[in-house]
Amino acid sequence: MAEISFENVTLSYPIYNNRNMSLRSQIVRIATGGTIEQEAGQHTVVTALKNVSFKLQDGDAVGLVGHNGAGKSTLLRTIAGIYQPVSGTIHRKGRVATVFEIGAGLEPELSGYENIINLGMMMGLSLNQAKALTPDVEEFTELGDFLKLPVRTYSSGMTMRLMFAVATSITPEILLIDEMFATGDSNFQEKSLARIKKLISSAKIFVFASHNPGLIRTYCNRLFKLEHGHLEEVSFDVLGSHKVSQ
Amino acid sequence: MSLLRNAIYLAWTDTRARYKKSFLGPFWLTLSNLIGVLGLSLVWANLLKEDMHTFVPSLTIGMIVWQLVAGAIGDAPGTFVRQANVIRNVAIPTWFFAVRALSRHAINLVHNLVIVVGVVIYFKFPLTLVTWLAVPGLALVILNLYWITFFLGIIGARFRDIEYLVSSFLPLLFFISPVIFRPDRLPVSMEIIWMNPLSYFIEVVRAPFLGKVPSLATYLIMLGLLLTGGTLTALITHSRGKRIAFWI
Repeated sequence: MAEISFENVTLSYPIYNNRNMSLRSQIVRIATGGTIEQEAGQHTVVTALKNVSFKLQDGDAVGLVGHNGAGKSTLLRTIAGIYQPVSGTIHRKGRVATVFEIGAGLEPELSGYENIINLGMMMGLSLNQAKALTPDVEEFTELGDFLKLPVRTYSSGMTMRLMFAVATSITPEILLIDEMFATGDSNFQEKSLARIKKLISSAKIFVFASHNPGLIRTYCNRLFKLEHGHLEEVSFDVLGSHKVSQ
Repeated sequence: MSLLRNAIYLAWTDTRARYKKSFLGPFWLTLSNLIGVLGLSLVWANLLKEDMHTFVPSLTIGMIVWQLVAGAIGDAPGTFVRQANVIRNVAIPTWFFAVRALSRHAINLVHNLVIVVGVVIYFKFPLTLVTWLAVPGLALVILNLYWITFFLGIIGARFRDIEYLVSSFLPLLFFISPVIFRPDRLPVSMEIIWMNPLSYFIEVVRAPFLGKVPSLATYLIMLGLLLTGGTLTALITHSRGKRIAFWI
């Protein structure tokens, strides 16, 4: 049983520039008043999510659309529990796997095999459980002997195959993917589609942020649209009107 | 519990990755320390007119403990900043990164133990019951370094100056610590040494090796630091820990 529910979740975060990151400006702020205090104390606060509410249940595959900076990545990170909201409540049930940034958590100097174990252990598996992922990842990625080479020699497509394979082979109950399939070839897209279909059919939750209407149509059965931090569920007709080529 | 084991395992992979293409691997640390200890022994033993047989073991253990302490504190402000790409992509509790960073330095310490064993054998240093007091001493050092890593990691993620501030003060702290000279052998009184909290980190491990029980004050100060620092860190983690992902 996987479940995610958001109730009036608002998330904002400060953007510190170099001035705010430095101690000097903070000390000046304490030591002086007036104009400098104002200048030094100012930092931009971005409100990335405003009163977001939704409920996801078993078998939901959600496509997340919105223009750049609409808050898609922030929402995914909030679902994963990486970002904590300022207000509102989040309930999450089920093991989460994420594929957000290409290469995140990989150690470039170590081989593909060693990185499979590292990634597995970062997701909380024991050493033996992580080792047990290897055959499945070998089979899925079709990287062959490249798995013996350091990951720094991989192309972005190969890196993504590795990350996706590990994230899905731990059989997560909630799989969160940020726009990334662009780097995969058609063979990979077919294989990953089969995996995600299997995941959804075994009653799991899948959330996928993308700008590609074709991919969203194939993978997803619900559609969320984010605009300036506001989220609403929309019908798939919205995708058609955009006329973005696949 | 398994996450704790994983953090230590990953620290070991970090060490391996760092020395991946070198022949000696992590033993480069051991070798460079050995060279350092030999060189310093030659110079300082003559300058301070110390007996080699007592001076070299004292210096060796002092240096190795100092490396652990200074290494961990120097890296501490970058604990979370360096792991930014993991923190922003995988939901892992923050302590995981503090344990991982500190374990790296503990692994270095284990490599350096080879030198301690060598010195103990070569100088036929007597191992007595008192020597074993070094073990709880080391445990106190590591527990204190844990909160320091965590605390400086959080502060260092918010204020990037901390890293430079810390690294510019560490050499000063080295010179007012009893690593090179033994405080009881100095011609002039160097009370200032005992104003430096890191002196107790050295003393609590080294004194047992030299056949002395560390003073009660040493233990009280180490425990006091652990309690105050631990509480402070717990408080700051409680109030600011959730913001780390936004700062890095």
